[in-house]
Amino acid sequence: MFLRILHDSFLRRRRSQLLAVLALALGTGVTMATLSVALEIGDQVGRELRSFGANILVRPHADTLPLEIGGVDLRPLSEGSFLHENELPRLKTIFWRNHILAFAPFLFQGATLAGGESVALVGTWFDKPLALGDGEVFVTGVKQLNPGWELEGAWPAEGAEPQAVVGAALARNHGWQVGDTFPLILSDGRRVTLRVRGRLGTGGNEDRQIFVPLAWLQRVSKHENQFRRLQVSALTNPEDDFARRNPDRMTAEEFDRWYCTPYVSSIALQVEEVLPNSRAVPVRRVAQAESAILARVKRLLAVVSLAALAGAILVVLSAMTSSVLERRQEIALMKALGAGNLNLSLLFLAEAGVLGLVGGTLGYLGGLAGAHGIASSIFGASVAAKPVLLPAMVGLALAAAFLGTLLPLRTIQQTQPALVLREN
Amino acid sequence: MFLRLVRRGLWEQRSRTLVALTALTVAATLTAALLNLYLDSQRKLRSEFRRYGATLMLTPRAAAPAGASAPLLSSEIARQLVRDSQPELAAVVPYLYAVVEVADESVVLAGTWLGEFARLGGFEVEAGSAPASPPAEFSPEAGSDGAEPAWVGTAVARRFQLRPGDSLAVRYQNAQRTFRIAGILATGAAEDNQILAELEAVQALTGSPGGLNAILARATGEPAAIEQTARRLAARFPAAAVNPLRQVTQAEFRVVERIRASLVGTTLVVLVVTGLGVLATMTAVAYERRSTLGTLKALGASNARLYAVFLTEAAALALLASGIGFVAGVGLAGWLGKTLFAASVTLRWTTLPLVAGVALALALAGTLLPLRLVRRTEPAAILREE
Repeated sequence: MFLRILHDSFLRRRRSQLLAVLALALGTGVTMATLSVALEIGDQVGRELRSFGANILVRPHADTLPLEIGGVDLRPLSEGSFLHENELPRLKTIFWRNHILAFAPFLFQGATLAGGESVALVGTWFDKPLALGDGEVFVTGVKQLNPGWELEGAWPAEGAEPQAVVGAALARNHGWQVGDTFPLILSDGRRVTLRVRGRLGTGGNEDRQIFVPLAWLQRVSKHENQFRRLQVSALTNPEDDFARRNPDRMTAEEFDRWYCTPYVSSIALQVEEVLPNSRAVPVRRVAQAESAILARVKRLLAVVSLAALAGAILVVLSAMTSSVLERRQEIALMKALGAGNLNLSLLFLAEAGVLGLVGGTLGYLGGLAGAHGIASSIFGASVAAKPVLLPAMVGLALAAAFLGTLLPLRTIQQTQPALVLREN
Repeated sequence: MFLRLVRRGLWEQRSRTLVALTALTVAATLTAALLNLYLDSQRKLRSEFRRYGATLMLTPRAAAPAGASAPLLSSEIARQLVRDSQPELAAVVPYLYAVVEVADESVVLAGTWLGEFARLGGFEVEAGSAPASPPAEFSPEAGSDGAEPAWVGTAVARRFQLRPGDSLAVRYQNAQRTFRIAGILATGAAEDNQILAELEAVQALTGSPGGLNAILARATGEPAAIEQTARRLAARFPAAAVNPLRQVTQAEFRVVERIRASLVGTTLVVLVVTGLGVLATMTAVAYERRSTLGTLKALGASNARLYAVFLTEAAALALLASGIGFVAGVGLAGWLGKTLFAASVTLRWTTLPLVAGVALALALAGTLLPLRLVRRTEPAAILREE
């Protein structure tokens, strides 16, 4: 009997029930869309912020003090200690290996131009395919490290002829064009000729440097397999108070949690662990700004999601309430025929349950499509379907439907059948 | 008579009026809060990027002549940049570098304006105090045994086992100077290996008064505006090459634009949904009053007069709701601004008419829809139906 009344209610009042389902689907859909966009945008903004360059810097642990002016280490290569290039594939074996977006090693050497002007030679990787242990190839270098850099020409290829990327200010002063060659005197007095493959204008120190392939600089300076400095770009979570605590003073449990969260400091520690004799530190300027911006963006979008939720609940409540109130006569009739308040309440809640299930599922699907639309138009990226959100959205729709039914239920219970029916 | 109809219409059906008023107020509150938050977001987000550091770099234009040491910029340029207090320059940090000897080891000593350096940020204080300019009466000419404050990078502190309060003797060629360590800084950049001291002290030590290697400045605004500032400064100081640090400015611009775009998208969606909810509520409330309409029509009220009564009611509700909603929304936005940006959101009166407009449009549209249905019906039919 109960089921038959329920079944009949949906058949007879098709239009009205359809409206309620639509309201529920709209409400949950909007919440779903803003929530997925909010979740996704955190990641997207994090990726976008990585165009600021490296956020972790690695140097040899036991080292003399680098004489760093204008972004280059001025120590002669005979001084200080080095890190080893053949250990670098290990970076992609750490716990957060998938968060390591790019890295590049650096070796510096002073040189003199034909006119006697001294310049800094920077040996590094540009766009280097790196074979990892598991047979995969990871392409990395300054190109991946600094996606914002504007290069005229191309990155040098590692070949027989030494090629270079020259800073824009140097190129302007000497009139070098892409394809030109220029002579250079290395610090040991040897003369070499470099071909300009590209010109790099960043506005910063790089404008006055000459970039050459690391392998070539290692060969001519007889420092095979060695480099001075490593820059790493890693996708990180915003730092909170927990992230800033000293890992040495954590309990084992806290340390596990810290280690397994992609904080910039925990990734730096993991880098140190795989590179012997290294010291990895977060680049504070980048890490601080990134943390602050990411945290704020996430909170901002959470607020907008909450506003969406408030709006959605408003829609659903008004639709459900008016749908129940419309049926005052039906309720009165059932009461007159002997239906108890409990029976009636159960009937209406069961209806709300069906509506909530259908509306929530539709809303999840519609919201996913909406989120996809927003994310692809803003970031050109798609939103991954998060199945976790399906039960959450159905739950939300159910809650809204129940709430919308419960509010007018009091009126139902106070209904005097005789009064309502006479009104007719 | 007209006013009495409106008043009674609102008062006699208090519960319905309250439902409509609540819905309209929620919509107005959300509109006001989101609008205020959105309008302030660009400025607030940009101020966050301050921590990314400088956006302009000034270096000597001339190339180093053969054999000679690098040419210097005049520190008069930095002083003028500060004195003009250009609104688009948030910080001006001059640098003079010298390679000095500490306990027979070479270290880079960087002279800068410590107060401006601190303002640019990007460091953490590991021990001691944060960098600050020495008080005005402090004389940089205090002599070689004066205890001028200096900050050292973490690597320097580790290497020489330095702690705040220690004194640090540095030698540059034949000159010598003693600093008092005021703090230890960690930046994860070149400063970790450097000693930072007030500019004038380093200029005195190296015998290059008024000389600078570079000036870093933080210009604010969009990339185009920063390029323009750079061109203007280059024209004004021909001795300096002024370069915008494009990596910073462009990434910053892109991120802010995308965040704003997503904020606009989601805000619009929220407002549309809330609007639909209000529309539905208003329609339901108006539709339930069909019998009142029928009675009034039967008593001889013209269509125009009925429209006027019902729309005036709706407008009164909308105005009341937008007033409450604006106050609540601005309060909400202010609270959100404090928790989100740690800065209050500026109150914008320009949003009040917008909020009132949204509420009015929703209330009127929600009332008009059912009224049109009723107009076509005969009063007798409506009254009998009930």
